[in-house]
Amino acid sequence: MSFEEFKETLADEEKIHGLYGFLRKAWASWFYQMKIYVSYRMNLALDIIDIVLSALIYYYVGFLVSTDDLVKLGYTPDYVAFALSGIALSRYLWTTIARLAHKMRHEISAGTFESLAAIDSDNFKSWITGQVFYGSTWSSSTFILTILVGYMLGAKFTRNPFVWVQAIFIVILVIAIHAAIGVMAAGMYIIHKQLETLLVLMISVMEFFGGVIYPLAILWNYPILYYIALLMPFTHGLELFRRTIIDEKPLTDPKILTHLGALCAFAPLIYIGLRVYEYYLMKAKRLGLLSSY
Amino acid sequence: MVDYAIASENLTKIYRGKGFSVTAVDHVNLKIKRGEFYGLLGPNGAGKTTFTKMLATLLIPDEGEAWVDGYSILKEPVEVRKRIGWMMGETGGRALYWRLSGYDNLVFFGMLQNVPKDIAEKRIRVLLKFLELEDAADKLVLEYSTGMRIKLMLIRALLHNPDILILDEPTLGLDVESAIKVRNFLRRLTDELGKTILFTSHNMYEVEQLCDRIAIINKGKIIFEGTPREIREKVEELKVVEIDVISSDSEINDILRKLEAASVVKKILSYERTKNYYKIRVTVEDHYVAIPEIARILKDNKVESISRSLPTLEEAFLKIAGVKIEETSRRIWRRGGHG
Amino acid sequence: MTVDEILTLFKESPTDTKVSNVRKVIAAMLRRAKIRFNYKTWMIFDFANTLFMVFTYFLLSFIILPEDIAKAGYGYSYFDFALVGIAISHFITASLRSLALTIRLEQFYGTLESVLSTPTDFVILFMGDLLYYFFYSLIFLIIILPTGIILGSKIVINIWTVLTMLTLITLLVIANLPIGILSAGMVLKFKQGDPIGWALTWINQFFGGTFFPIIILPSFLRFMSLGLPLTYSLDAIRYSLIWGVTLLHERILYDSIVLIIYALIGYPIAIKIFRYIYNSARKEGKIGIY
Ligand SMILES: Nc1ncnc2c1ncn2[C@@H]1O[C@H](COP(=O)(O)OP(=O)(O)OP(=O)(O)O)[C@@H](O)[C@H]1O
Ligand SMILES: [Mg+2]
Repeated sequence: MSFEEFKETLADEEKIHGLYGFLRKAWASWFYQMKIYVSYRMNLALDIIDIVLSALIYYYVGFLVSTDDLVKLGYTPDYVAFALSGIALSRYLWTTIARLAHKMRHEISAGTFESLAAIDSDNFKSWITGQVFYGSTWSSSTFILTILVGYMLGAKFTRNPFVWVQAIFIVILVIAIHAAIGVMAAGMYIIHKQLETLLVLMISVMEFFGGVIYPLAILWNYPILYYIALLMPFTHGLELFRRTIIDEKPLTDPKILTHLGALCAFAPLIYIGLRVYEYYLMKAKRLGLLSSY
Repeated sequence: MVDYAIASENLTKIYRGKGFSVTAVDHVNLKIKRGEFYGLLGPNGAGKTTFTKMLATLLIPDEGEAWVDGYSILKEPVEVRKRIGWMMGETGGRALYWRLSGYDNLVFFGMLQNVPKDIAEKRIRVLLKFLELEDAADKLVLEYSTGMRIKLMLIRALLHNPDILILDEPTLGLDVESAIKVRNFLRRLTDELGKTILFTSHNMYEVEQLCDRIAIINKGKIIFEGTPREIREKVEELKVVEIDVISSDSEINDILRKLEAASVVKKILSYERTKNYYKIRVTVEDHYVAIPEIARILKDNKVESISRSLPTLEEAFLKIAGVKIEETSRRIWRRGGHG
Repeated sequence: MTVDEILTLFKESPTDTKVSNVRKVIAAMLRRAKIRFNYKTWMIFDFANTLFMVFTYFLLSFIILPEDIAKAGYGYSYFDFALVGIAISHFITASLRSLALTIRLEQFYGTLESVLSTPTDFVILFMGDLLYYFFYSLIFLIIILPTGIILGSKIVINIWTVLTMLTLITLLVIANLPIGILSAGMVLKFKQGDPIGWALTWINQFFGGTFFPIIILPSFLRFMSLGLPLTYSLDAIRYSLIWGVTLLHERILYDSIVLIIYALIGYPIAIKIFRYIYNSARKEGKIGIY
């Protein structure tokens, strides 16, 4: 091949601006992340083992649970449905909150972050969009699998597709709000490297207070803890999700409305998150911190 | 075999994988005397690393045998390892614990090499000072530059004061000044302490300056063995003239034809387009005659310069061994980076 | 003149020095500790997660009927039952995964070949790492059990039960280690993270009965449980801590003997297979590649 031929190939390059270019880059970021995942073929097997065995653990713990107590606390007597709905939704916590910052750490220490920065034209927004979608793809697959395993183990999730539409709406809301926290954190992470610790702690805390495998109402015994739990978006999201897919409560139900209101109160985070992220990225570029360990 | 520091007999290594097999080292017979500074020279993918790894007992050969200080690499690997200091520059300093300090790395490896901490400390101190690393000693290795890591790996290989050093491209990645310093130091190790050094490189001039004896390896085979003097003589016979000429792509064929027809030009070695001119390399019988003659032939062209040039490694190889070197696809099997 | 300094130093100093294996093991342990200390985030995550797990199971125990626990012989509190399972979970991971992790990390750092080019046996590194993970797990144990007691657990802690527990934990590590050796061999062979170790941890957690007594499993699954050394370790440690009995109790004695038998059968097989894989990796030239 001569240099001329090479130059010709460059002439084909169309100038790509705007939304199309953005989507194309986001797609690339999603696609290559997916490729990396698939290249470790064992990952898939592992995730499946993780999903099936953790479902089985709560299936058997369910045998020990006093259904009377569950009913007294205001749930259906079906503990398997209870626990698996919690586990399914909690799959989104890691990918939305901490994964971005974690991914950035990897890129920075591998030196690829600077290469990304060198070709970046939109403050990493397309990259981040791709990464968030990748995280959501992964989490959603595990989410769906967990729910399917739940059905197989006899969990009484709703079979009404309309109720599922409502459930999916709630899940998307949960993802959006938590991803906003993650994006914000990723921006701050570039400068404050200690933040990663805080993020992973946050996941543990949210998971604990969310009542993933125990009924939130037990926390009534410790009112302070109960109020702390109410401060977390995940707690409301999980309660909404459960009431929807187990009890088939419509959005108009007063209890559902309260939780929905509480969850929506966190919605401004989506805007704030992006702003904070941009601010920190600019700051990092000024300080030249994109490649420091 | 006991008389030699390193001796190999028909040493062969074949890498096999799905649908391919590469004979990386092909029946190599080498005998390296004690106290000798021995250079193994070869292009990328020639089999240098593979050969040294077998000597370091990291790889089991498919055929043949080798002895290090009289000990068989197959039967007495531990004895072999006690006597060698091995390092591989090609890793670019990966072969260290990046999340330990340089000092911690050395003390730890020292222990594995049977050097008690107090003895190790003394050696580490002087070596760090010598290689100008003492200020970085307590920093994590991940904060080091590549050159610093390579120096650290070199210290590691020296720490237990082994009689035999097997250094695989130790100067790869060092700046000129450090490389000179390291080379001089290694030379003194053989001259004054009688250490045996097996040194691989793809830099002919480096090896020629440094070594007592040189073997050239290509595609796993030793194609030449001799002293630097013998190589130099062969290379000096090879007279290369480099012509820089400004020319359009269409004119170049015309220029090449003119050169080919000239009686003073033996052979056109190569031509390549650089930023704004063509660089043509030819061999000649006698450059004192050839240079003015070429100038005359090309008087209508825009000649930037005509000068005698040192042969490249490739050209020298062609001359010494009559073998054309093909660039092998390099390290496709090594995946990923660090982190 | 530093070169002269070095040359004299090397000329005078002996070439055949010795370092004892105990020292090497300790050095290897400290090196792992120092490296791990760079990953504070993950340590904190690990601690927080485990502590929150204790709280979670504490709350869960409010709605659990202890009948099946009692039937299995572990007293009347689900919290006690789960607490012990969580407290020793790190030892399980340590015994199953630490060796595979060592190989994986050394390959990743590129240090595996440097280490193998020294006269020191790789086993020293294994032992150092294992020791590190053992102490790391011990810290969890020391934090978790008192936390449980503060939350109202009635497990019996006295000098005898603690000694029994430590003995049983050592047995647990010893009996599980052959599986760990095999999974290290797999890592050497397949160059993939440590999937088998991961899967094993999950499988052990499920079948070993960390969160529920295995008597509630249907008989074909219980059969699997009885094939795992962890089942016996967990049984013995729980039994001892819940009833305050020692090694001399027949149930614990029985469990211990089973564990010893596992070890006696496991090691020769595991080591043989590992050797085989290691040598074939040395032939294929795939030791250092990651
Ligand atoms: N683990 C391996 N698996 C398959 N092929 C290999 C492996 N290691 C080396 N090779 C091949 O063996 C040949 C010799 O490689 P080797 O690394 O020994 O060359 P080298 O002389 O050290 O080259 P360089 O100058 O690039 O370091 C090459 O063709 C290489 O592709
Ligand atoms: Mg090499």
